Amino acid sequence: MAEYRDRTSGEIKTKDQLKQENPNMSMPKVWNELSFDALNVDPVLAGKKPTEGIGQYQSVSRNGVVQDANSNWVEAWEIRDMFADIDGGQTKEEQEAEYQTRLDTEAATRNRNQRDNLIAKTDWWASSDLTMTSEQTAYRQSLRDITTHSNWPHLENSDWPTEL
Amino acid sequence: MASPRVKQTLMAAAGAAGGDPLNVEDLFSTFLYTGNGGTQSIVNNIDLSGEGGLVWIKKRSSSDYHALYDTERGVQKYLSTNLTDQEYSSGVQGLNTFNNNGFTMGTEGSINNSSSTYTSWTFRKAPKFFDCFTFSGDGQDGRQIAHSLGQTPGMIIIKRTDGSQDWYVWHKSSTNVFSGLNTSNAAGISQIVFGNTAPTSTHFTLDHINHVYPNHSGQSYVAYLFADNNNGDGGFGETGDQDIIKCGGFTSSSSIEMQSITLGFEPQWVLLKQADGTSDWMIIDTMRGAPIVTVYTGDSQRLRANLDNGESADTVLHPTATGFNYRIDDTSSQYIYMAIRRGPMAIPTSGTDVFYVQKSTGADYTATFPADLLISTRTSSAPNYVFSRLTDRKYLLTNATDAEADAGSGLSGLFADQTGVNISPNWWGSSTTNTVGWLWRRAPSYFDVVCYIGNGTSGRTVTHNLGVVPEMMWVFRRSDTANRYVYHAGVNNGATNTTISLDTTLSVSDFGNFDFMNGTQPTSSVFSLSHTAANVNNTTYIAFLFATLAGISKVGTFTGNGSSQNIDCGFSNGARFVLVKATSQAGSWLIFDTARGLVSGNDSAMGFDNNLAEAAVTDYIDPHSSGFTINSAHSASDTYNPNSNNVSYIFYAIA
Repeated sequence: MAEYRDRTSGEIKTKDQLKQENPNMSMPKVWNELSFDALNVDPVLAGKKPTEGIGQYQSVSRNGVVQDANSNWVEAWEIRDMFADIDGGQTKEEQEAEYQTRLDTEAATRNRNQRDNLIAKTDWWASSDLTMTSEQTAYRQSLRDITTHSNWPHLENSDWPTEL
Repeated sequence: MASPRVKQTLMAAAGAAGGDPLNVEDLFSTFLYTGNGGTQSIVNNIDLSGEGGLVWIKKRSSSDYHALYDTERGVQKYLSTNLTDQEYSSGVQGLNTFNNNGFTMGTEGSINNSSSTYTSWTFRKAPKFFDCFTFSGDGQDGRQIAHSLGQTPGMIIIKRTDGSQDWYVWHKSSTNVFSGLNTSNAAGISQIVFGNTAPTSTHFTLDHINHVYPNHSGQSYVAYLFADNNNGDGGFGETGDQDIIKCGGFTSSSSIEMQSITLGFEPQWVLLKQADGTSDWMIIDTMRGAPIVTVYTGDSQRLRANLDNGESADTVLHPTATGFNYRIDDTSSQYIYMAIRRGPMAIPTSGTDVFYVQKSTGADYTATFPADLLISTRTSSAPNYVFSRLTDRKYLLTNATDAEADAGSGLSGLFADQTGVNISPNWWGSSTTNTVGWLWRRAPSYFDVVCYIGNGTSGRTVTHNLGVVPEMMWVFRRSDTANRYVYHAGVNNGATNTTISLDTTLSVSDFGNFDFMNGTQPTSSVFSLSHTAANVNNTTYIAFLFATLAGISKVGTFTGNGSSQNIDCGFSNGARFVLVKATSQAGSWLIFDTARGLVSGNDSAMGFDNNLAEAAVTDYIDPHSSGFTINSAHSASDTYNPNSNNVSYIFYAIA
């Protein structure tokens, strides 16, 4: 959604807002400097959203606009902590621990389901009229042992045994 | 005198005629979703509460019955095309609200089981597209049933709702009537079911024979009617002369391995069945995937209306710019189909609706639209992978001449995603890999993709659906090695002997003043090819077509000034993506975007022609509201300098 900054108030507005605020103004399809002057706004250009240096319990949030070295108004972003101490309630650390427990539980459930599916796909190897090879036996055992992997429950793809 | 129901619909049609044009995206949607086991709303921007229509849901990931809900029978009542059963009540767990932008459902397993994947096909009632209504049988022969299509139907489906009965299907191209949608049987019922009278633009006829067929006294029925547009009489689109739905038939031939069906438009959804023999009612749609794998193979995701099976990738049916190709292994058999046009038909009004760029850990690119083209690479050293909806998991590289490669079954259904593309981290080898994805959506006047097979004939033309003259075209040979030929209208006024190539830094003259277009500039409907290069016989190709769209995209040129200059693209809020290439001297295909940083300061440059890591070492480019500001960087002859003095450049920018 294209945004514009009011030159007087500094307020950020969308194109639709400006159209509604100026019902008697005929506006071109594509706005240019003349349009901006008529509306007393500056366009807000896309800003670089941080993708690195984001901690485990942090998130990236929009934080208004900022003027760049060329005096353009651009989107501002900041890395924020997900949690803060609550007066009379949980501390920041307690909330992070609770959040981590939830992530661990979800990852464990997801990976157990994947393990069960992979084992189920090979159940036919264990039919009474077949004899499993040592590789097949080892593969199924590796799947059963996946919960003891050092990365459990947050597994990389490379942590899984290679499918036979 | 028209019935009240017909009057109401005709009034609605008149209103639509006087207002905004109707496009296929207003009337039909394939919307994919994953069940959440709770309440879930599907926002497909189809007005069901105000206009009425049908929602057909099928679980994709495993077997489950089809579930059809419509506004005429009301919420929480479903029928299944794979069953003869009466209408069932789902309770609140089923589809429980028709909304003005989609529908809302509860926890019923056939439509919203946690973690299962589903497709929903929504048909909105509209003249010359679709109609549905209920009626009670009266036991009379020659019963005239009024409808509101305003056009002779191409296909009519009738199902008894208060008891068990087959789904009877009349199709304009079948000699007999099908009994029915719930079986693989050939069309074996006499037309006497429909009174031996062809439907008209206002009525269809039913006979009551032996108390078996529809119109038994006291029984309740629902009718679904599908239009058959021809030669622009659909009246859709900005110009009011476009077709969006077509019913037809064809006869297979032993001399043609791949049957080509001409519709007059590129379809997004096809229902197909053999009429004179046993076959399933196959449903293919391009959201789930109908890719072209090789010349005569494909792995389109098939669902079958008469079976409860999950989808399977075992069908060779894929769209072309003018219809679809279907591989048939039998001969001289009669087939019938119903096809719906691909959208969007509306010209985009915002760059964010058709282009998205994201720097990601892993490769989950979350756009607001279903993508048609993804170019992706690691920000460390890596090739630039090109994936498209039309070719699915088959990828090409911009920086090498390699033939197409298969990314493996793990990436099947790459584009079966309403919001962008999600590549498994496994593809990159690690979930912590930093990648960037550039995503395009096909849209009139903006961007198009065409797959074609070379025929080795000079002057051959390929139809496209860009709707305007392409100003830049990339042509990739898929089945063999070749340069990535680029035509750009800004080089020497669009002379066709000014080809350059995405995989090299070569200038126009160093590339050999090569002409792959047979000396003919592209038009708003076709592009021409010579007999070699981009048209080798029995060789597969994919072409990407780009155009300038006011305020959205700009294909242009500039002459470098060795310092700094503003490039006016006619944008309001600056460019989010810029591609720059020197054409009068060697130069990389430099890529800049706002996700990696298009800022007042040092920027990250990458090149489509190489697999180098991004380098944030120089102030190549700055943001500017009307487009971008380009700066001179490095030495004048450096291939990474986007603004060397007196050097000719081409560019492509997106707002």
